[in-house]
Amino acid sequence: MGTNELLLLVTIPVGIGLINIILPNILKKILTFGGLAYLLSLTIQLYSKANLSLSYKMIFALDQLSWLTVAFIQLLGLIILIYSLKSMDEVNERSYFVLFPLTLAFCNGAVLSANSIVLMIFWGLSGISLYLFGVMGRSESASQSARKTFLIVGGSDVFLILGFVLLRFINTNSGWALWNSEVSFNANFSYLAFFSILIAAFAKAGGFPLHTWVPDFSKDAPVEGVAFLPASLDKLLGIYLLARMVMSLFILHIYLQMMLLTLGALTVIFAVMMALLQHNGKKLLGYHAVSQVGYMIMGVGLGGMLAANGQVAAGGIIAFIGGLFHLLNNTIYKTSLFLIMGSVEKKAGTCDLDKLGGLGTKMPITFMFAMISALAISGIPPFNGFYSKWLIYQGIINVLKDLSVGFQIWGLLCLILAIFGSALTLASFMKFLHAIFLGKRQAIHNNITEAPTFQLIANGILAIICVIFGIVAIRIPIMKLINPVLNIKPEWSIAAPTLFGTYFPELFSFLVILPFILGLIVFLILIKKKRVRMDTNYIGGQEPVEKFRISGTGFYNEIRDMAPLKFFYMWADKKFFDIYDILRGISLFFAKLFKALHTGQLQFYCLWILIGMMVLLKIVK
Amino acid sequence: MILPYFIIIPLLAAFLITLFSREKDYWSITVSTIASATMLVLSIVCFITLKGETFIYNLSGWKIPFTICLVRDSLSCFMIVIIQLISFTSLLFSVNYIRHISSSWKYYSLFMFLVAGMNGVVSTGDIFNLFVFMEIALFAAYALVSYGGKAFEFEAAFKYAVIGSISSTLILVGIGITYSATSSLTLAHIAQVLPQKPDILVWVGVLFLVGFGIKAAIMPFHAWLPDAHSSAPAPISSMLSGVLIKALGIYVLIRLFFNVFGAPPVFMNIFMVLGAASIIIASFLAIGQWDMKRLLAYSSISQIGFILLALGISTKLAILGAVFHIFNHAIFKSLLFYNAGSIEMAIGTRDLREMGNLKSVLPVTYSTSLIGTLSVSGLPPFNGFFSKLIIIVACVQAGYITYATIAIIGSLLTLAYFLKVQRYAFHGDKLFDVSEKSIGGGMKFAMLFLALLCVVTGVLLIPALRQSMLDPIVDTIFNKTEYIKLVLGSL
Amino acid sequence: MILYILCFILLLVGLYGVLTKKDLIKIILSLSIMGYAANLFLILFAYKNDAIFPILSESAVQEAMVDPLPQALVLTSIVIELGITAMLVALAVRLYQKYKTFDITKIRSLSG
Repeated sequence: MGTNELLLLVTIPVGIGLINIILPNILKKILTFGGLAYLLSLTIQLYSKANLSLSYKMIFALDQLSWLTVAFIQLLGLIILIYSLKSMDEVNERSYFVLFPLTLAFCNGAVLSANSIVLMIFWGLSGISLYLFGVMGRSESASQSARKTFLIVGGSDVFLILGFVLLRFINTNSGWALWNSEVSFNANFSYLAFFSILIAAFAKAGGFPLHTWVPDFSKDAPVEGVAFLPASLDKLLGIYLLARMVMSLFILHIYLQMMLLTLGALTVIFAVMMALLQHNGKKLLGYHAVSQVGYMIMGVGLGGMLAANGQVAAGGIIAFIGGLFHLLNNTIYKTSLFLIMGSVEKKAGTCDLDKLGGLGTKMPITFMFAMISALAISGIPPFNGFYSKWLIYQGIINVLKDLSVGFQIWGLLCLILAIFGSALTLASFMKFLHAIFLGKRQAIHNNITEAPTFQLIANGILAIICVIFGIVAIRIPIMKLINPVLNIKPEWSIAAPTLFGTYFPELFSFLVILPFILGLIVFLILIKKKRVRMDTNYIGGQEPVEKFRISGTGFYNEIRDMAPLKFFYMWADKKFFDIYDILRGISLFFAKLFKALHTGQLQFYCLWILIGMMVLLKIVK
Repeated sequence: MILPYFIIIPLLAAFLITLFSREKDYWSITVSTIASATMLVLSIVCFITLKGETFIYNLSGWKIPFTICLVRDSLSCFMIVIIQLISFTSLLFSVNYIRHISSSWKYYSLFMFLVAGMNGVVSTGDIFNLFVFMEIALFAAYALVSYGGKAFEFEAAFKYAVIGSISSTLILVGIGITYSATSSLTLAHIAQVLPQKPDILVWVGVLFLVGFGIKAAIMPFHAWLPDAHSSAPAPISSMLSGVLIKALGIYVLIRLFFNVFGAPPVFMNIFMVLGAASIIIASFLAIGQWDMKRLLAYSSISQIGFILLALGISTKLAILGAVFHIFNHAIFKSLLFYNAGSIEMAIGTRDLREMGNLKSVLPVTYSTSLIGTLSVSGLPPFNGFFSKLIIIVACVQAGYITYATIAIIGSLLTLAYFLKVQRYAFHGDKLFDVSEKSIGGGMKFAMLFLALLCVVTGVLLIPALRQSMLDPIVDTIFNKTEYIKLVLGSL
Repeated sequence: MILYILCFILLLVGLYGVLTKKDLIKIILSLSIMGYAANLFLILFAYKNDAIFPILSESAVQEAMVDPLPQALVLTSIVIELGITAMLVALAVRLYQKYKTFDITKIRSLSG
């Protein structure tokens, strides 16, 4: 039966999606939930068989890396489904429950495929479903964002095709079968192949400079779609492809790995700088979704780095593990943050940070979950985001040890940027939390109540995973989930725990949590007893007016005017960094040029024909 | 004796329509639909029963080379199937669409002439006869382009007719030179003699390349196309873009340059260069358009570029890609023109800036055009993906990485301008007070049918089907000199 | 040979007309001239010196005859050109009604 299970992972959700077209609303939800729960249990059962490299007729195959990705796709899919059981409006709900399982199937298919043509097909399909989620938003800018998104993601798809076709002919003996080619960079056009596939991976995951669709998409698409694709599944797919490239498609050399490191660092810093100044909550989260990808690219890109003695460097492996772990963590807390933003948006009717504020007392549970996720994404121990970043930094330092001075300086610069980015992430989430949950509430938001149960359940699960992955970071996620991945390449599998340094997550978590518990006890015993006087602000005897409310969005406005950053932000406002707008400008220029040649004058057209004929005659003679 | 019917039936239908039509258009609709449906069935029978063989029909008691002959091989049958398919759906689409311009039997009669001309071109084995049929088709096309009776339609038709007659003159001179060198007009005979005379071959080659290149709208010779194809009524646009440029342009180029001239390398290189230029330049032009149909017309030029590029590579795989892309392009381009037509009929404009949010009022048009868009942009699992994939694989396989990259960029640009259509026509927040009921059932059926074909024709690549359907066509094109033997051998 | 050159010049005259004349009718005439030149080419290809017309009859002596086929072609081609010219003239009339001009450089509503 083993062969069929992989097929089921694709066919079941496709079937559910097609049946959902005709089913009534309530049955649809039950069916989808049941199907997804079954798929998750199926995936968990497959865990032990992942080593057996299941395959289905050369179309699908399973190994540890694809198992890990598939498992997280099912898990996040199920959680987001729980959230969206009671969150969509009527119009979108109908198409959502068709599209949702289909998307899941496409992503499963892409990850499980063992054949590059199948991969191209599923990869393209998942891009299409991303577009369809994008056009669910109804505003004028939503269609613009959906177009931009699909142009970058769907456009990168053709590069994926080029890359795999080139690979097919560079390495002729493997045919269309995937994951066993190991191309080194002395063959013709192997660089072209590498960069083509890299474009696809970056566009999907949102790496610099192809990241610009993520913030726009996040702002305009329905939040369920955003949490589902750009925040989780697209990240999984993109980084999955990158990991595959590093592990089994190419044999990278040091310049390429340093390039990946640099691109990762740039992704981190560019996105986080932009995030600092956002006023729209979803767009802010979108920029963070990008900046987190930077860490993954840094980590995964260093995988398989060779040490001075020609062996695989331990540091590279640590960074690789860190990168994958960060991928898992990011999907969890980023999904959670988007879903929380969605809950807030549905209650308050806006996600403009200027208009929100003070919702902490009205939505306390949501606030707590948001806190956990925000601390996790900022890399605060003991939450999961800390340990994955820690591993990546450690890996980078470890790798740099063996390199020459030039590389060391280069690498350190990237590392500093990344750490600085992490600090800015924390800063920006302070603003985020303050702007939504703290500060003074606007009067129109006084009637807001806590989010519906399904949404709380979904967010709760995610928050719990955040905590668990932080506390038992080594024992469960790394040893059980990520370490087996290294078995794909035997020379990579090292005795992992010895290399992770002296950080013991359980102990450390205990040390962090202890003062909080003590503080709580102190609070309960000593302070709660006393009477606390609550009063309104006293502003010179005047009524408090709107302009005295501190929303938090302006926390970091000063950096806009700091000398070197001023130009950065000015250029960013002019979209100098947005590859979409650059290319758009270029193609509109050409369009104008060629259009000017089509004057509508008949004689001119006849002249073209004459000249064309002369030239042809000249050529053939 | 199945082949002559493809010429007789439409001519007869045109005659009957002209003879018996009254003010109401019921008679002409009935006759033309019956004729078209019959031909569609016949063409499929014709294609399926062929089994890779070649049949000759002499049109008089004399023998080749003294008579005109019709040649039924897989390539011509394949083209006939495409022509019947698109003309049948276009007719269904026309029934409601043309009534909104003017209901007259003249349209259906001209339509039948167009079909007769194209069928003649693809089935004849005689170069002058091909010329005559081509002129029949073009004559009908000029008239149909100007059918709407607006100023710009006459302008487009006039330009089309002038450039068309220049190309016809060039072709006629080419035929003259060919005849003086070979003393024959039968293609198979010419193919026997001409490749031995490289001097003449070069002249004839250039004349035919330019002459038929104008019909196929290859890049420097394309200027008539965006005017004519955007001005014609939508079903005619889809006939012109979907099949006319292929039957009169690409098909003849294939027949002449592969089967008759034996694929001389210098022309193959020219094919590739012109193809690549068409892909890129036409895509840029399309991005700058706001007129939906004009955008589609430029897109046709760029897709023809893909076909030409693949033909120029002229490996077996590349030709498979070209043949498949001919088929696919006919389907999705016609579909997209139908979409443009139904939008034009619903809200009375072709300007993208005046549209918006049509997905809520025209759901069938929206969903089919989405399929068409994804298909033309080469996204899986639609048919355009597979043909483009094959073309790119063929480029890489033959070592033309640059051309592969150009094809990739062309594909990206295609996605760009079709997303522009999607974004401005179907999304956004404008409100229109129309409903899809104003669009007739025939139009909806035509769109849905072609959209369905976009989804399913990818299965033609499944090895079993490919071997029986597409491979014989590729063999016909690829075995350059085999054609002579087949035609002359089956005397 | 001189005949061929003259014929080619006739073709160029037609081409010159199409490329330079602004008047719709003159363009149509130039196209016709090009067509005549092409037809003349065909006749010239078939022509033999001192040959007679290609009609077989009992009484006629078997001599060298000109090739009859191109003449048949030319007849067909003339008919086609007639049709196309009629079409063009009809379009020109309608264009004049719509644009109130015969100047092709002013009839440019379609461009870009």
